[in-house]
Amino acid sequence: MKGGRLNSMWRTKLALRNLSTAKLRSILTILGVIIGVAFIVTTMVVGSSSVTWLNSQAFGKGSNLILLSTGEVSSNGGYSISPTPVFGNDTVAAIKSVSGVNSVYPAGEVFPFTVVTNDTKSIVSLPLDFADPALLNATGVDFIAGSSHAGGLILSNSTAHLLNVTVGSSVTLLLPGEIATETWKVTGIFVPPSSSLGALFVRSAYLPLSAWKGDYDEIFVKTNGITSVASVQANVLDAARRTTTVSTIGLSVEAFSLQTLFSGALTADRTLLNFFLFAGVLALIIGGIGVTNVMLMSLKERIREIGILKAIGTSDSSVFTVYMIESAFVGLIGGAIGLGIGLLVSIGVLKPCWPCLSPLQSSVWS
Amino acid sequence: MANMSELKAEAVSKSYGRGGARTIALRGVNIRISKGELVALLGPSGSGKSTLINILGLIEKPDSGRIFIDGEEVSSAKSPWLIRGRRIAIIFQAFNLISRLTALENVALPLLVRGIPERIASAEAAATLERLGLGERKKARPSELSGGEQQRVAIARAIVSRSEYILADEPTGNLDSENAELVAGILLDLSKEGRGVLIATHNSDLATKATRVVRLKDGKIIEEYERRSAQ
Repeated sequence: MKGGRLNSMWRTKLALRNLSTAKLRSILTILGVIIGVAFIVTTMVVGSSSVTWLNSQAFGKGSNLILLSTGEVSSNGGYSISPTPVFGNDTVAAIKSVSGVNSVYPAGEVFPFTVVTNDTKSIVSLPLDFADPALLNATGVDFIAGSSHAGGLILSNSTAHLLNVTVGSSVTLLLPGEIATETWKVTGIFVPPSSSLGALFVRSAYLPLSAWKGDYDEIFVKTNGITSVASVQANVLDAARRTTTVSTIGLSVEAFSLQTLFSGALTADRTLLNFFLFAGVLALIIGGIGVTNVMLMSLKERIREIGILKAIGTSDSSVFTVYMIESAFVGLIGGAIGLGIGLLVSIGVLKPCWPCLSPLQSSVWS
Repeated sequence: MANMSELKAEAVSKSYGRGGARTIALRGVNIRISKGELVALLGPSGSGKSTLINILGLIEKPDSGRIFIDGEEVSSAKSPWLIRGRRIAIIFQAFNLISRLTALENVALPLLVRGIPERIASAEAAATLERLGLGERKKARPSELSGGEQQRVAIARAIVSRSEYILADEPTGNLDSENAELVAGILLDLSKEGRGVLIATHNSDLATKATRVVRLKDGKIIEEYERRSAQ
């Protein structure tokens, strides 16, 4: 036996009439949904974007590098890197034998250095490294002119711009200490990574390691994989300390990697994300209970109307659907507006940190 | 042999509440409404009239007893709304119109529920309202109608459903004497058209139009008699 069912148009018509009759209640309910959804979207997008950004910093290209150098621990627990020539070939050999080590790149560093170009003398207050060109490849920098293996002076694009030189230009370097004045040809210009990788591992200028004399200031270690960096770092540091004597009081051999540097931030950010997730879920539950309560009150108010619909032969499912359509309208309109507001607020919050927006863009629009 | 033209309640009992708060509304009531007759169900407030109407209209289930329509037992029907929509129409004292709908939409609703296209349903609803003198008021909302007009809209809604049985619970309770007379006349006409009409009322004057009178007191039928001719 057919019948008892209102068609979709009439169910929608009744639902919309219900909404339009109780305008204030409908608006307040939709407003509640908007606020709830916008809050959840904002917390989730901002939280996940910042974690994604931190992950890209800690686990991106070049993040399987460890830097061994000498440094000084300050009284407030901070640390400053002060490269001193303390690493000999025995240290390099000891590190190479550590399990999980892929490559070892010893390096000498001078800071600052003086450059003479066309009789113009410039003092560059940036470090110049003597290193194997393979180290640059390991960091994943992009060469925009020349190459890493031509055996000449390699400059970052900003340093080249500062000195007004290009590939093929000849420059005279006045290096402090025992390293003599030499003339070098620029053979490569690169763009350093915009991430923290650049600040930790990439220098402004490079000369071939063969030009370095004496012990090394730094040793860069490339591990076999990303997941083992922390354990390899501990073993590498142990090997370096065993084979090195640091005579300067206050200085000690230390090891750095992006993963260990970011581990605290990642943990904090994940904790924050979990908190936001919890707050979001809580907001969703509270909002859900609120909306359910409003809808139940609305149902109670219309119990007579429901009775009338049933008395004239309307099926339970038709009556139920009328109120479900009403709730769906509130949810969809509130949800759509809340989503839009949430995304706008997220973009506003993340705007000061444009790199953070790229994971947002990829997670939202791709 | 079962009568194939009547709505019948057989030994129907109903109570509400539990323990000391238990109230017995009906005690083994037997009643029948045949097609073409107008039955007046008389009794004071609290005698069980509304409960009996609700049980006959399949809105409530009895604690015990059975309901038959044209010989078919319907008391345990899985889809009572289908029977209500097609075979039984109910008219209430409080009119029970949907305030958000116009008079025309209220009357058309039982047809729409039965899957009749809106165009046809609206035409039938308009014709029925016209018949009851409400042709000019079909676009009015219930709040814009007088009590008598609202009850006529409710009756129109019952008529348009083409139900064989009409159950009216105090249909004149909220009306002045003039409108009460008008409504009673319409219900009498409906019985003459071949529908079975049951009017629950405590108004003895209304009973004068009935073909049969059933008197209910404390949930039991205490008197039942035929009237020779309805006015």
